Amino acid sequence: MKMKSLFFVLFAVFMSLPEVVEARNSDSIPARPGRGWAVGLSAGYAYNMLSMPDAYDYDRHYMAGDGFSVSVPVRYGFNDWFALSAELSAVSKNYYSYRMIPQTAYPQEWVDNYYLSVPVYARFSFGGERLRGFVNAGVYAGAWLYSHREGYSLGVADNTLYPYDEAVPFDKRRDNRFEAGLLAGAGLEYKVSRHVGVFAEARYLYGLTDMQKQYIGQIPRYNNTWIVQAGAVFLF
Amino acid sequence: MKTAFLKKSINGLALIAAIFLSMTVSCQKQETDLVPPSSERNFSTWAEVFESYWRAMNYNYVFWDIDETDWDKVYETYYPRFEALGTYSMSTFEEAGALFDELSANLVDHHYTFMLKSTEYNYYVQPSGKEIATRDYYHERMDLQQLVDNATAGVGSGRVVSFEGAVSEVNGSDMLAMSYLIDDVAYIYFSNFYWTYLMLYSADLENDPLYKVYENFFNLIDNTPGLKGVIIDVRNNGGGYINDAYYFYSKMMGESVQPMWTRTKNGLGRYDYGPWVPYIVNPAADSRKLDIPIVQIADLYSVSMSEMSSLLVKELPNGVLVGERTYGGLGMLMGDFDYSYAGEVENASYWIYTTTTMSKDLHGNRLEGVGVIPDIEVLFDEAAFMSGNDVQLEAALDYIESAMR
Repeated sequence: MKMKSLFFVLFAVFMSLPEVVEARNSDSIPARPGRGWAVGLSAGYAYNMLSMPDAYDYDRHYMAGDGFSVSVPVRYGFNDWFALSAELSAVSKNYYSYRMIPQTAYPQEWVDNYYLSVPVYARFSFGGERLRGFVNAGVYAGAWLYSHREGYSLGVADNTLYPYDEAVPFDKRRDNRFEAGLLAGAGLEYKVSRHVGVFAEARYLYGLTDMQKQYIGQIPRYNNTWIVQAGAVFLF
Repeated sequence: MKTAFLKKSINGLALIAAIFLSMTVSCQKQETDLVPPSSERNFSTWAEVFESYWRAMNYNYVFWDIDETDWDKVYETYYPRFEALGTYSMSTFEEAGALFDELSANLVDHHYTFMLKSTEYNYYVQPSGKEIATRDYYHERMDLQQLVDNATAGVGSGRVVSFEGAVSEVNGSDMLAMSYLIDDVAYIYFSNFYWTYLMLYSADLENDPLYKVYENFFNLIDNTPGLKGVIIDVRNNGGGYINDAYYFYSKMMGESVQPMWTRTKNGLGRYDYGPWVPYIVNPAADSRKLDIPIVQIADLYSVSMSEMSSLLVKELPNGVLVGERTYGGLGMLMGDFDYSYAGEVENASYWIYTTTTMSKDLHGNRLEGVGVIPDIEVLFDEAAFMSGNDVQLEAALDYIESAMR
């Protein structure tokens, strides 16, 4: 249902933007805006949801976690409405787990997972000379670089809650450190001047790779991440 | 211009639709066919029984991190063999049991016991029993009657005084305990760590014969002038309650001690482990804070709490472990599957007795399947023991004597 609503919102945004209007002033914009190279920087908030099927650990609950995203986008515009982009992107995909039943081994845990990836996507833009909307669609691939967990564990003999705060050692039998998935996004870009634009974007990353390596009876887990980010681009 | 705009709109719409359609179809795998193994029943084939067992172990066994058994290969190899047995019936029960025995032969959990159930008899599998038989110091279990006879012979000679001994049923098993004074050393033996059960559930604790042994031991500590040391004998002790540390060792310790680290599963994934948690034993408020040697004697058949307590004694500033490398079963059974969704599983067809946690010593050494190494190694001498010469006990007494000089 959420996907359908977003679809119609994006369509409405797409259709409501004004047509391109030619204009020249003292800070003139090229006759064919959007063409050529551009490089930028963006940062934002990441909201990650760990997607796992229900199994029989009924009381083990997972909740979405807050994180960050920092990217260096590079794009080449073929014309005023189509460009190809690639980014170097650092994203933290975090989650929180907890138990409700008392006297359990690990009642609370926050896990932070840090990824470096290269999204590659097509960018469709529309609108006016200065203010343009865009939608992105593509893929991303990258590596899981680091993991950290913080929480509480119950002492087996004394029922004391022991806090822990540690890096999670990777296990080559368990961890699939390659990640890839699909990307879709939409946003607005405003040309402040001939060479500088600022933008805001909402983006969704849909994981296609399981966080764990394959074994028989494996319980799959994926990261699905919403990113809201803002940034600036320099247009050559 | 309008045509171009329309064309762009259509292209953009088509792209958005394609993207979201692909996502909503869901390329992410879903595993939904999982029920608690304890609730599985009504098996009709041996393949179903094996599948249930294999999955239970896949998700609940806490030793995959150190166990060298290739569990995927076990599935690939044995599923066809169980399938070939056909219908789940008594006619092939013995063969099925033998297959379970074969496939679990190298499992490292030294608590692990598998029981295949039937209405006629049960088939038991215990790989650790076969492993210890390969050790070069392997011997049969110490004869407990001879242990008692050796002590009573000491009473007769006058070397052993203030003897108290008892055998009683505790927690569904017979527990033997005896305590006495020998060479100005307070000695206690007990065959199980069931003091917690006794303290909590005895109908008449003060008059319970096992409690009298316990009380006698601490009276000897408190009231023996010139007491030289304490010996706790856990040979052939099958373990029991972790909480016994507080009824026993805490009453002698001067400071908190961490004998080991433990951890358990933090997810159903095969290698989903939580962080290591310290296992800490604190001194009792009324601890005697002994500064005389505390010596524990352990042997090949000292397992579970016998081994954890041996680690505890080794970490005491005045503690020493005498005897043999122990059994190697240092996991704990928490008794509640919800604790971490790991460990023991039982359903209508089988019972898997496996621990909820795994352990490592304070120095990071793996202990499961290895055991606790004594500070002073003295191997069990059965012939000498049966003739009244307990070389391990004598070594413990010699150590105390030398430490007090």
